Amino acid sequence: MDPTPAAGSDRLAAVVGDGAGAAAPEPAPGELVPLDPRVRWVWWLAGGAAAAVVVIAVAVLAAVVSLPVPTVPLVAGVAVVAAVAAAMVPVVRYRRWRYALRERDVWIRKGVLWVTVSVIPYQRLQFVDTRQGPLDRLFGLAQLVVHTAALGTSGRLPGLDAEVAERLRERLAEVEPDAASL
Amino acid sequence: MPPPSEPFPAVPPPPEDLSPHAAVPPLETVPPGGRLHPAAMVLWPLGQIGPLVFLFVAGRLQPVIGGVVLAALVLTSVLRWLRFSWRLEHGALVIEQGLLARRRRVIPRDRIQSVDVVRKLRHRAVGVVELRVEAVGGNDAEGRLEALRPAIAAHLRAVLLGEASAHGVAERAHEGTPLVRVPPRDLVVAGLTGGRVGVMAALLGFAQELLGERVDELARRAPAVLGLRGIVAVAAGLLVVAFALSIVATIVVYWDFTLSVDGPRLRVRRGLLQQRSETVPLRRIQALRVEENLVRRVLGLAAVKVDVAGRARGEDAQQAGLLLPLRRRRQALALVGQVLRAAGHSDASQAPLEPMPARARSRRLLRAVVPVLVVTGALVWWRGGGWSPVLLALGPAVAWALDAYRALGVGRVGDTLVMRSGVLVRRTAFVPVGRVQALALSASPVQRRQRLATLELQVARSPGTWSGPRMIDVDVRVADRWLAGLAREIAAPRTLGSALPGLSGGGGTASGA
Repeated sequence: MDPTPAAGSDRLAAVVGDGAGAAAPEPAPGELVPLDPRVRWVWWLAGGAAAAVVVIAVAVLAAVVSLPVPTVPLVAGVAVVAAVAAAMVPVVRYRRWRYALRERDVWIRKGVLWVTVSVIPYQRLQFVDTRQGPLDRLFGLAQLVVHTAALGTSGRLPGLDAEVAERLRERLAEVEPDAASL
Repeated sequence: MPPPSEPFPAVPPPPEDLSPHAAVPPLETVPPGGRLHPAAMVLWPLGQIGPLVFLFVAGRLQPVIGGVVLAALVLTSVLRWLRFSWRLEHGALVIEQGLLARRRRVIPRDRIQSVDVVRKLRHRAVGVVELRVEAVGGNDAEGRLEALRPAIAAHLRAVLLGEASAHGVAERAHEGTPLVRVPPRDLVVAGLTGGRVGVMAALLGFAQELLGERVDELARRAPAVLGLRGIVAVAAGLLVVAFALSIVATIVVYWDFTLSVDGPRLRVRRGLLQQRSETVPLRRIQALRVEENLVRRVLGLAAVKVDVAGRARGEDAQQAGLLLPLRRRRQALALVGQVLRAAGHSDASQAPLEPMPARARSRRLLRAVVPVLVVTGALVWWRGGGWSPVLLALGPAVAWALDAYRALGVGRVGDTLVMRSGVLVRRTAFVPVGRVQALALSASPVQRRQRLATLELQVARSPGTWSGPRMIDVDVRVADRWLAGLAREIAAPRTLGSALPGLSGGGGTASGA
């Protein structure tokens, strides 16, 4: 273990220079808001479908190939695990997922096992999409997807009320991107 | 190993103080647009004819069918040429093409990230060049003009990079102040130590493909025919051939490698059979990195690469962006410093790097030792026998983990962040804060238990093998502060101090109407 973790940390913080000592600019707990609770139903349905596919695949495999494990207990076990995962993961995921739309940037916190906090300044946005899958439409939801010039998608807010998402997209599209960052 | 070559010349004068460039008389005949050179009608079929020739030589192709396919290729090429046009419009490059569906692509000058001029063998045979214009957000080369007269290409490049207006032509007579010139001797070393293992493997795979089922038979008969000594000799011979091929490939690709600074832009010229000239405006540099693979690290050698947005994925994504194929590590760092300063950023090439907390070492050990224990343990349990192989395998795993921990380091000088990691390829990345597009701080379950986190700096780089600049296994409290501090820095309205002096006039004077 690190003998003097605090001293080491402060030296490291000094290297990067900013942040230390200044007023904490990260969002206050109150600023972070959860997604629309309806998104859990989208995740439950999608997860349930995926679980069903897995169970069916295992059942077919067990029927075709002779495995050293008896078929019925195997399929039943897989079905139980898949069902529990499909039921629980959306709950944990929903509880973890928070976002904050601040004056100059958006913060997104997400992840079940791997936890990620992303920060995307509005100035860096190249374009903003809203997407609606069939399940989203069923529950009146939409996804907001933001892209910067960096490789890949930078941020995604999956469970927003469709109207809120549309308003947000329009507001974010008004921000003039900072061309000098490229 | 070659002794270190001569040190780099002094830093060129700041960009606004342009070195004297002889202006060439204007090209009176350069059109503001038009079709491609008619040679394109020959070049396109040539590019697609390879498999056809192969089949024909292999005797698997009826001459009649071959003739029909060839005629179709030529016909589509003629149509494609007729339907292809380019022009300069208010400083934007406009390309219209498409056989059935007409496609129009407008590339405004202020979105251009780099311009490359390519002369493949077939281009040289007909005396034309290819111009590739890369802009942000493209998966393929954004604008490819596959056959142009060299004079038109040079003029177009100058206009698109803001070196000359479309009318008042100021063609440069030379390629700027050379920073690096790589002698053939260095290329031989680069080929010997380079990571062209993949190429060799592909060649060996190709050979196996050719021999087909005979490989198995050969393998079965080899011991009887050759004997042990013979097999060793064949293996050694193959190895020598592989190295020789690697050297030849390196020499062909990087022949006469010259890096120069020409005003506010970097130019790279290289290639023996396929000649290329890449131009990257200094203000388009997103990140720089020094790369040392295991062999080169032992020898104290390193390569330097630059990250630019919008470079195409494909044949030469690996080679593009190379600023220095191989030099002493010290010289590689010196070059990074020069380029950073020329681009108006802080020179962080000598920045001391802070190590990560000792907990990071435990994580590295865990990551290296556990898989090895599982795999070797399972093997021993399954096959029986003693446990000595497990202990034997643990040695390298521990060495790997300790080396991986030693690699980790982070630093900052002025506006340039530095981070290092990697065992097989150790990368030291230099990222100007202003180039960071977004931030992501993440932690795996193990990292969370050890209060560590990984901070990813998302920059506008091109697709490739590199996973991007990351600060791995930082103490989580420190990481939180960096995330907040860097987020504020990149979201803040720019101040004059971070704007690049003297370079702002290069690009966005005109965008398409």
